[in-house]
Amino acid sequence: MLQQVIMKSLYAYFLLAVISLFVAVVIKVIVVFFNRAAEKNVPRDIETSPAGPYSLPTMTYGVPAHHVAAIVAAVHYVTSGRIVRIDGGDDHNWTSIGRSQHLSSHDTRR
Amino acid sequence: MSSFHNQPDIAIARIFLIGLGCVLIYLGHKGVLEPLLMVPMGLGMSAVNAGVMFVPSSMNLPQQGDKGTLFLNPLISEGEKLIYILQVDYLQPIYIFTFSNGLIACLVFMGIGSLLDVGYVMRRPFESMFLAVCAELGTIVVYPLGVAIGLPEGAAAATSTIGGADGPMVLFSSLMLAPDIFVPITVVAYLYLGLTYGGYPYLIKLLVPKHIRGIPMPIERASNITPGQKMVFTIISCILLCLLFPVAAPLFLSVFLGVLVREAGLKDFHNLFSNTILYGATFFLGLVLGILCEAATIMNPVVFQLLILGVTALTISAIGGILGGYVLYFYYGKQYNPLIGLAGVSCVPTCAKVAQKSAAESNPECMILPQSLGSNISGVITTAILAAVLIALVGPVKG
Repeated sequence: MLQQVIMKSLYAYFLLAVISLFVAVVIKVIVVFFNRAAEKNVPRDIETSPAGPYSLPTMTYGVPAHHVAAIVAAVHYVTSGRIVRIDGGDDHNWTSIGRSQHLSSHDTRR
Repeated sequence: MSSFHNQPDIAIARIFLIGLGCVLIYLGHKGVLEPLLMVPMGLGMSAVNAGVMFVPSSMNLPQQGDKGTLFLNPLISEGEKLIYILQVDYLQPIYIFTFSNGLIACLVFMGIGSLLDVGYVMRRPFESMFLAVCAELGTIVVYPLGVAIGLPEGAAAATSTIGGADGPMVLFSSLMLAPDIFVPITVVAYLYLGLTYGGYPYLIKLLVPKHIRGIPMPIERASNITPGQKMVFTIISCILLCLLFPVAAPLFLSVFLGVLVREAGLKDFHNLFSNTILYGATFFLGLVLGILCEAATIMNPVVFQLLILGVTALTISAIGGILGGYVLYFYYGKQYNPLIGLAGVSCVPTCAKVAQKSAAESNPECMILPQSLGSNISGVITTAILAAVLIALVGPVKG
C-alpha cells in the first residue's frame, strides 16, 4: 500500500513537472508570437518632412515648456500611448509620499 | 458546572481554546500571523467555546463527536434537520452556501487572481515554473508520509497540500478528499501559513550563506508584455487546465477570471474582486473557521498528526524551493540569487516579500522582488495543478 502511494506521489510530481513545462512553453510561444507580430506592424521607412514653423509656449500651467518636453520624451521612451498629467507643485511633498510608499511596500509585518 | 462533570477533558480543551483565540488575536494584531484572518478567527474561536461552556442540556449541548455548535452544524445531512438549523444557527447559511460547496475558496481565488500580475511569470516562464515545481516538494513527501503514519489516503493527500502554502487550495482539496476532517486540516493550514512569516527567515539563514543571500539580480528594462498577451495567456491556460483537470475547473476558472478582469481593464469588476469579494470572503473564512474550532470538533485524535504533517510539508517545500534556487545559482555561474526559489512557495505575496527582505538585509541594494513575484505567482499555478492531480489520482469523496 505504502509503496503504491509513493509511486502515486512520484507520478503526481512527474505530471506536475510535465504540465508546468507545457505551461511555460505556451507562455513563451505567446510572448514570441506577439512580439514578432508587433515588430511586423512597425513601419520600416518613416517618411519625414521638415517641421513647419512652430514655437513652443514658454510656460504651460506654470510648468516650463522644456520640462514638459523632457517628461513627455521620458514617458514615451518607457511606455508609449500613456496620458500623463503634469502638474506644478509648490513643494517636494510628493517625493516623500513616493519614498514612504516604496519603502514600506516590502514591510512583511504590515 | 455540568460541562466539567460530564466531559472534563472537553471543558479543559474549551478553556485552552478560549485562551488560544486571544493569543491568535494578539499575534494577528502584532503582525506575526495574518491579521485579516486571525482577528475574526481568534474571536470566533473564543466566543464559540465560551458560549457552549455552560449551556443547559435542554439547548442540545454538543457532545464529543457531535460537530454542532451554537452557531452552525457543519456535517448535518438530514434534509429536515438542515432546514431547521438553517433557521436557527445564524452562520449556517454562510457555511452551507459557501463552505460546503467550496465557493468561499473560489471567491478568495477570484480576489487573489485580480491581484496577480502574470507579467512577472511571462518575462521568465521557465525559471519561474521550475522554482515553483521545486517548491512543491513538501506536498510530494508528506502525502506518502501521512499514509505511513496511518491516515486514510484522501486525508493524507489533503493534508499534504498544506505544502503548497495556499489556504483556499487546502480548503478545496480537503473538501474534495477528506470532508470529514476538513475543519482541522484547514485550521492547521491557516495557522501554519504564519510560519512563512516567522519561520522562513531562520530557514534561509540556516541554508543560504550571507554573501549568497545578497547576490544582486540584473535590473531589467521595462516589460514589453502587453495586457493583450497576458489575456491570451490567461484564456489559453484556463481552457487547457480545465480540459486536463475538470475536477479543479472551478478553481482554475476563479483564479484566471480574476487575472482576466485585471488585464481587460474592467476597473469596476477589478475593484469588486480585489476589495469587496476578497475581503468579504476572507472575513467569513476566518470567522467560520474560528467558530468551527469548538473543542468537541477540534479534539480529534488525528489533529496532532495533522499538526506534525503540516509543519513538515511547509518546511520541506521551502527547502525544495531553495534547492531549486541553488540549481539556478550554479547554472548561471553563481550569478543567481537562490532566495528567489523560496518564493516558489505560493503564499502570495508573503514568500516573495520574505525573500526580498532577507536579501536586502544582506545587501541593501539587492532587489530580487520582480523575480520572486514571478516564481511566487507560478507557485499559485503549480499548487492548483498539483491539487488537481492529487484529486484526480486519489479520487474525490462523494458527498
